[in-house]
Amino acid sequence: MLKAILYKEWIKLRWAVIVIAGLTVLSLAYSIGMINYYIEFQGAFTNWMYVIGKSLLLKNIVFVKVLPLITGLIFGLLQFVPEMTRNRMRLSYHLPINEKKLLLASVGFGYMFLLAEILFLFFGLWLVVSMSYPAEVIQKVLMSTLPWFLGGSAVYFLTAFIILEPSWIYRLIYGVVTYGLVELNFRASTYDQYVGLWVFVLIVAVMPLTVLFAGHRFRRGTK
Amino acid sequence: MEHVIECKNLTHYYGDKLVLNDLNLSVEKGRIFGILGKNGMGKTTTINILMGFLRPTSGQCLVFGEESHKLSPATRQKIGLLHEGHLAYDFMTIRQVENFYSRFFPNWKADYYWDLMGKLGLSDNHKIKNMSCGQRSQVVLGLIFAQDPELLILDDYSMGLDPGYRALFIDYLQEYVREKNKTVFLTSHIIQDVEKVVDDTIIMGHQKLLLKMPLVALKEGFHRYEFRNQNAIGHIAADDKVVTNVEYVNDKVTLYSFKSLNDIKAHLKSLGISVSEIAEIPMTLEEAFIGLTGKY
Repeated sequence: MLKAILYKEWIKLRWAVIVIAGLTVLSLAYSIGMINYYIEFQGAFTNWMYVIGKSLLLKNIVFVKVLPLITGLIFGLLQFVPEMTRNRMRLSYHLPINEKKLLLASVGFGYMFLLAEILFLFFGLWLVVSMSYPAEVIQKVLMSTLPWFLGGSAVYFLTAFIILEPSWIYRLIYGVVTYGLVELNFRASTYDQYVGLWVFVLIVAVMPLTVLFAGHRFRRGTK
Repeated sequence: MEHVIECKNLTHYYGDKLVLNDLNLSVEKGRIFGILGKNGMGKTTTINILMGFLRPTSGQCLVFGEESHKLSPATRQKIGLLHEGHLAYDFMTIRQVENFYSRFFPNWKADYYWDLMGKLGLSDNHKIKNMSCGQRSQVVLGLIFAQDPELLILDDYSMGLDPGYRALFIDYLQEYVREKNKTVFLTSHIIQDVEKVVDDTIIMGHQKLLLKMPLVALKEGFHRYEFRNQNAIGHIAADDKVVTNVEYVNDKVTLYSFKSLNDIKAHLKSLGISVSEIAEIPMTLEEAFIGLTGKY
């Protein structure tokens, strides 16, 4: 049964998975070009000053900020809008499988695809930065991008939560809370701005449970 | 007799609005039930409770002995649901949807599905969202048949179907149900179709069950009588244990009743209404339905 759910989620997400992977490759290729251009243009010493002092690299890889966010949002929409359109979720709820298992499997598989995209981007970035910079810079860049990856994960779970919620008023309230929560992760534009990262990891870890709450309200017939 | 569905003292409110009031209903195994009711009589609410998508304010609804809003996966496996509007995973193709559902049902009978799909003449890669309502209804019916459920709940199966697809749906349903001795609980706005397929009718009035009886008994036992008498206008009460419903048009009086012609004559006499000529007018199920529930 879990294989069937994976199959269904794959049907919904497959084109998005391929397109996002393609965008990731293009974005990484673009950053290789940008990094080489700055090194050539500024010279190694000036570039080093900018990279360390002005967090230049973070500004050159703005797509890393945007891609996980967009991917989380798109995956959430593609998976759950079709389920909620015309109350199609009722079909899923009638399947002979425990409802909590069904919901957790749906978000679990969706997140698995998101995580694959995030890891692809993360290791791609590591590869790109390591082509021109030493380990200290690589570590700074990668650690600084972690809140963005985490923000993408949060956006995915909260998008699923908001779409599954049957009441529009509640959706609106959740939307505002989501914005506030996710925006915190995207404020930093310099290195090492990830204070409280572990707290947010814990928050994201419990987010799948919000889907159970919204699913339960839908099941009860809440309007 | 074994009951597949049993609703006891079902009451439901939407906010302050009472929709169902102390409804009692049971569905016996191996029979085909048609639930009829005008809009706003609580038919959809009853179906939603029965399907487990609404928790009643009070009372309970048991399906295979389990409360309908918390059916176990094993019990859900025994129920084939057709949702209003022939709801389907329309982002899937004909093949994908069969592939998906077949993994949930151990007794999956793929032949039923592919037999129906063969008649559509569409490619296996045809997306459900690109189908007409009629074609989609065949996909949904094929999936329910392949599931081989013990109970079929079909919510407004005729909605959006043209006469051809309605006839096709009914033909296949009749064949399948008779052959396999299934229990069916269906609703439809097309009463002529219901008449062709059901064994028992359940008619819902305002917030309550008006009657539940075999279709044959309803057709034989429920009568329509007409006579003309200006003096009778406004003097016959409906629902007085003899007359179920009464309509007046000018001096024409139409009575609906489960009583015989002689009983009606005696009743009119007791009310002081003299009638020289009274006739029984045969009815279709649709006319009987209107007679029971009223035109307004």
